[in-house]
Amino acid sequence: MAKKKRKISDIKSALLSNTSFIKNTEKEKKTEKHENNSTPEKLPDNVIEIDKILLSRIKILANYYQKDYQEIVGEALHHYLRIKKLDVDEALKNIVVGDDEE
Amino acid sequence: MATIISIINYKGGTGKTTTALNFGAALAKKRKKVLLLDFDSQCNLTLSKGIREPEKHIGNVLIRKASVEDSMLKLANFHLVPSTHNLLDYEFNISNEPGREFIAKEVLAEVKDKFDYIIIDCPPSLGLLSINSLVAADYFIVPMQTENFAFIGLDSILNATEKVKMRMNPNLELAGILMAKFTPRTKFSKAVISNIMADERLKDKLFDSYVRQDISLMESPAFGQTVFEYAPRSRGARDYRNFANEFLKKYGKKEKKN
Repeated sequence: MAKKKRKISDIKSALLSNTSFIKNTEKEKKTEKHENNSTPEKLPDNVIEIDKILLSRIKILANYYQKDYQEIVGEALHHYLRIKKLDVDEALKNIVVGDDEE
Repeated sequence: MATIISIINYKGGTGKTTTALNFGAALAKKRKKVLLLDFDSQCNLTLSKGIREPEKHIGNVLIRKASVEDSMLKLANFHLVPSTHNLLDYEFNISNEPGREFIAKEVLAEVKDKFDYIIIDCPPSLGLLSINSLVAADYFIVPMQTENFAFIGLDSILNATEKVKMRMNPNLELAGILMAKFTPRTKFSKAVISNIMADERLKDKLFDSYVRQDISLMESPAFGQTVFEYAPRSRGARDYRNFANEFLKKYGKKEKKN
């Protein structure tokens, strides 16, 4: 089996999983800052917020498939929109049929 | 008064002895009075100067049968107190003594005014000898490679030194982390460096200079020489010279102008 390619971020977290003194304090600081910020940031209209747990699972899946997580999110969104398009097509058909009946 | 420097890492093969020897030699080349102490029962530092089974050694100093001054050998550029293969017996001998962690500090106080730098090459463990070196030291240097077990070794040392600092030697300071046998381009090296830099307490503690893999550093001890004697123009010699310059710039005492 071919060796799995690792990103620097994967190696960094693997290394830190064995240490007790050395910590990523920069990350902690950022998290603290984020937690202290009480007013939630307003997202632009065309941006959706993905649930943190869901996003972390997607990241694990992306790592398994050796893909970028944004690519996985893009694929999922594409799939969802395709299904929604079918729903819309079906609804339009019904509307048109309904109109003819009238 | 001498500055005492402990060269320490919990993991073996990280370049402790090579650093103690060649860093000491680099300081001696800058006309500093240097004393090296071999605290490792494997006697690698002792052997790297071609000394086998010495009569006078650190073991007798620790049990106070001999003084440091009587036990040191004068070599070309510096002095050395050799080790013995029986050093663990001597360590056991002092293991029940009250204040056993302070013995090295006590014995080195007798020669502190005769040298500029006293460098201790520690064993790859956190036993009594390593603790003695940390209690006696002003600074400690952690040589390491960018690899997993050396990174864990660094973590263990930092944990231990925090306790030594708190309980026995408040003046102890991490001089820095020295990357040895360094290959800067690999992802793993970048991850190790990045983790060190991401820790607030360590980000200024990584020496800018590093020691590259060099065959001269491997060959020189087999011929009982420092890298400066064996291959003065080698990469290893250059790297240790740069490292000594950086150390002196950061921690060296200002010379008195006459």
